[in-house]
Amino acid sequence: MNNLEKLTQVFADTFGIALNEVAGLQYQGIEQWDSVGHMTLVAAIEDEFGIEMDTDDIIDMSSFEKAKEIVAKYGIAL
Amino acid sequence: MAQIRLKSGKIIGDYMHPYIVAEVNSSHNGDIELAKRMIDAAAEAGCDCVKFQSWSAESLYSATYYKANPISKRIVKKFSLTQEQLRDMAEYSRSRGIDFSSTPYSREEVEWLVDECKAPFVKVASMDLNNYLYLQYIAKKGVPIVLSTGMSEMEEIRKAVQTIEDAGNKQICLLHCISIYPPEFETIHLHNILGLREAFPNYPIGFSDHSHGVEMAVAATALGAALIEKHLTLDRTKIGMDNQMATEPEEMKQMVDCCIRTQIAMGNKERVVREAEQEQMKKMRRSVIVTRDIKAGEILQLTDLDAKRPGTGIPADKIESLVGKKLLVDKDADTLLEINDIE
Repeated sequence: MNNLEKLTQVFADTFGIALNEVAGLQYQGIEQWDSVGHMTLVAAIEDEFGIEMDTDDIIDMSSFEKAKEIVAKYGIAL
Repeated sequence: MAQIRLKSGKIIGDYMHPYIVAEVNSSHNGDIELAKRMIDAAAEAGCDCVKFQSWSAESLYSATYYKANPISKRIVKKFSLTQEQLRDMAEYSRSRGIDFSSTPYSREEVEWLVDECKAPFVKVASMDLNNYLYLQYIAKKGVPIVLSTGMSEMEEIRKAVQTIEDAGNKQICLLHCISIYPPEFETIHLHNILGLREAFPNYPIGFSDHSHGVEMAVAATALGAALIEKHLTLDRTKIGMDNQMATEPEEMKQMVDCCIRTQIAMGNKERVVREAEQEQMKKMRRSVIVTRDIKAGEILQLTDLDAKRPGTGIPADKIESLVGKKLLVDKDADTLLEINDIE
């Protein structure tokens, strides 16, 4: 599984959705991705890639596409 | 009606102009410039007060919580304001002509809020309603207390009020509140405002509104809510602790305007027909007319009479009293009967 697949899997597992529903996903776009769900998502991403995101990145990560950009900032090749 | 006087001199009370509090919470994300813009937005929306949260990472959650939720600690630290920043916000608020307050979560935060920020009241969060020693401490500061009652049974509220009273403080405003963000409409039970008023007739009752839209705040105002608290954000699409239920400035202004108009329009129970409506009566009420051409000397029958606009002639309620009267002049059909036309 490459890193993009891993990130997609984290989103799907965190929010209980299918892998093909992850692309284009946005904060508050589904009920599960609220402020509490966001914290769970961040924790899962950090665990998956062994990184610790800056708080500005945490509050800026408002879509799956944005998550890809932010994760890449931490040296994770997608 | 129950009233209290805030330290700013403002009086809040049931059925009065509602004191509207913009709850900034942490929607400033720890950014002071953003916080100032939120104060500006609250002032421009016509809010009476802008309210912050005094919490720090240490005062809000235990180490046990952070161990299980390590990211939360980073977020809470990021979003919290220092004491000096809070004081700056208080001063900035006053410069914008709007009251400032905050919700403290420790004794130190209470001291700072009252002594340094000069808050006109202390807001106590629903989570602290059963924290009786803390309530006692706040009460002894001698500052009015606005106490949210979310998650609480009536007996707990009674005990909280008793605790504050026993500490010598009788300046209390209770807020009906549902601690769900946002709550389903069927769970809001605005009539709880009336229930609290019955239970605590000496204290004004307000409403902490966590719902979407302006309707609940307006309805609470119609029920005489003394204070309306509503969460404010500049952008609901941003990630934040309560952006999913907070209100953007344009809607906040709409809510303030609606609440003010509603409070004015509720008026009182006394039935009075105002001068403007009496004028309207001349246009809109009916006057007696004759239904056919009638000659002078004829005796009026009920079938000869009807009523149509305008209301400048003999009122419609006099029709029956005209039956049997003699006409003094000739009248054309469908014309107003005048009082001098009859004997």
